[in-house]
Formats: sequence, structure tokens, C-alpha cells
Amino acid sequence: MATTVIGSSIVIDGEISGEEQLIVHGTVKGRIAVSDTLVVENGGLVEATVESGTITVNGTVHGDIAASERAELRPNCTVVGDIRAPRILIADGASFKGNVDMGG
Amino acid sequence: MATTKTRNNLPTPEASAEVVAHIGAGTRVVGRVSGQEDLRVHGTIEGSVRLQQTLFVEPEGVLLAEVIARDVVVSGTVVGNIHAESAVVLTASARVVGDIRSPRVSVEPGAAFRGAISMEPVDADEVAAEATAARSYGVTRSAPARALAERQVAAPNNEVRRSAPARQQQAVRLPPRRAQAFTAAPQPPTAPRAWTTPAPAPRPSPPAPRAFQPVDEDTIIVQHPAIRSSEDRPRRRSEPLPVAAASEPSDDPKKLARPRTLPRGKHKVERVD
Repeated sequence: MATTVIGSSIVIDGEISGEEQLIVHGTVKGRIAVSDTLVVENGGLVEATVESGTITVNGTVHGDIAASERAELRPNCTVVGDIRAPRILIADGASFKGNVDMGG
Repeated sequence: MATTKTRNNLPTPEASAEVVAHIGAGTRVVGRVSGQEDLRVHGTIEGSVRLQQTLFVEPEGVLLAEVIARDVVVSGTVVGNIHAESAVVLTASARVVGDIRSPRVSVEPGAAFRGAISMEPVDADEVAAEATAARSYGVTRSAPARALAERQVAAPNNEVRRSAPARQQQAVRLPPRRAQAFTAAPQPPTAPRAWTTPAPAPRPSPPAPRAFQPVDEDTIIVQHPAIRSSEDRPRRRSEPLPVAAASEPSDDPKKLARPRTLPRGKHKVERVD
């Protein structure tokens, strides 16, 4: 089970770090640093500075995002904060406020 | 989300088929974790965990945390106190250092455990302490806080509602023998039993207790010299009266002899002495 799942009623206030996939249905405040994929599911709320390999947002992220590979903002997601990633996908219907830095 | 139970109703470490919240083996969480569902920990958590369901610490899981949950099933390592409303199970592979507080505790052969176990049920003192801790935490949805809120709503009398937290906090501090001596005194049915272990979380100093203390029988108990904190110790005659006398003009001898604004409850203290 090489994933971490934060369930929908779970609230974490602090720091999460790891080398495996992280799926957030619940709430995380503070800092997230994962080397693999971070998925913020629909209903998930991340109020944190995020560093990850890949990030996929279906829910809400408030905070700066730094992805070493790819950031995906899916439809119906809400992101407020700066995004730094070499590849960024913002789907139609996504809500985003912040700066984008693709390292170019 | 439902916890599997054996025939004697203890939670079991078997994995349930549903997808539950879990912290993977390569993940480390530092901070506070709270929630209303089961949580399985394969990785590491440092800080505190508050769950209203079952916490599973899997064999490779490490918890350096204060744990408050309904049930706790430990197959891994826990360093910190465990407080469960319902039951604690230490399986054969468990390594636990800390105190366990739960009405039901099961330790399987092979488990390593160092600490104290208390099977006293959670009582009103604890609820008050929890609520205080939760408030200082900023956790608003915790069960103890809710329970306290419900209790306060249920209290019919305004006076009781206002004075209850202060009284409970005083009672928590009672050392064991004194507590026994005082439980003989008449107390309202909602009065908490004195719980004698240290409160689970640092409690902020009670805000302005003097202003709220009602003048009733309970005040006498609270103000008894034996349990008075050092700040409240009986004033020696040679010492100046702190608040009232200092603020009064000193040219009036009557007022010095009988200051009108003695702190509340002090009169009764003299009688108890």
C-alpha cells in the first residue's frame, strides 16, 4: 500500500512529508512535501505550501505549489497561490488566482 | 469506517475491506491529526492524534504522539499517552511506552509495554480539561468540547452553568486523600469526581476566577485552606490587605478595619477555618 490517504473527516495541522503518493480527501494545513504525486480530491482542502513531484488538484488549494514535474488543475478545482512547475495543465472550469512560473 | 469487532466486542487489527484513511509507510506527519473516521498508520506521526473512531497503529507504524481516540489498536510502536473512550488493544507486536487510559485494555502476550494503565472511565473532569485543551488547540469539533457544550445547554440554572468550569478545574487539582475528605461535603449531582492524575494537556490559567465565583456551598469547598493554591493562602494579619485596603484612603480607620471589597468567598473561608 504505497499510498497515504487522508480521509474526508481527517484534519492535519502540521507537516506531511514522504516518498509516496498522497491523496487528500480531508484537510491539511501547514506544509506538504512529497516526492511522488499529490492528489487533492474533490472536497479536499489544502491550506499549505506544497512541494511534490506531480500535483493534481480536484479540490481546493490555498498556498504556493512547487511541482518538480507537473501540476494539473482539474475542472471545478480552486487554487489560490503561486504555481511553479515545468508543465502546468489548467482545465476549463478551474479557478485559479496566482502567478505561474514554468521556469522558462 | 465501521470497526470490526470480535465476539467480546474488542476491536481487532484485521483490515477492513473499505478504503480507510491511512498514513503510508513512507510518510511522516508532524503536527496535529484529528478526524471522525478510522485511521491506519503505517508511517510515522509526531505530535498528537485525536480521532472519534478507531486508530490502528500497524506493525511498521510509529507514533510519537499523544493519542485520544475511541478505540486504539496498536500493532506497532507508540511513544506517548493513549487515551481511549472505549478500548485499547496491544497486539503481540506492539511496542508501547506511555500511560494508557481506557475502560477496557487488552494486552496480548508478546506485547511490550512500559507505563501506567488506568481503567477509570472518562468523567466530567476530563471532559472539562479536554474542552479547555481543545479550545487552546483551536479544535472546535472535538467530542469532549461538544459534550461539554451539550452539558452546558442542558444545565437549567444560569448560575450553575457559569460556575461549573471553574469548579471542575479546581476539583481536578485535588490530591487524592484530600479529595476523599471533600467528597463527603454536599455537592450538586453534576459535580465531578476528582480525577487524580495530571490533566492530559497543559491548561491555561483559569481566566479571572474571582469575578465569577458564586457565593454558595461549593465556594466554601473550593476555598478550603487545605486545597487553596499558594496564591490563595490565608493572609497573615501582619500582611496588608491586597486590593481593598490599598485602594482605600488610609485616613479612615473604620474602612481599614472592615474593608468592604474583600475578595469573594474570603468571609466564608474564615468560618471554615
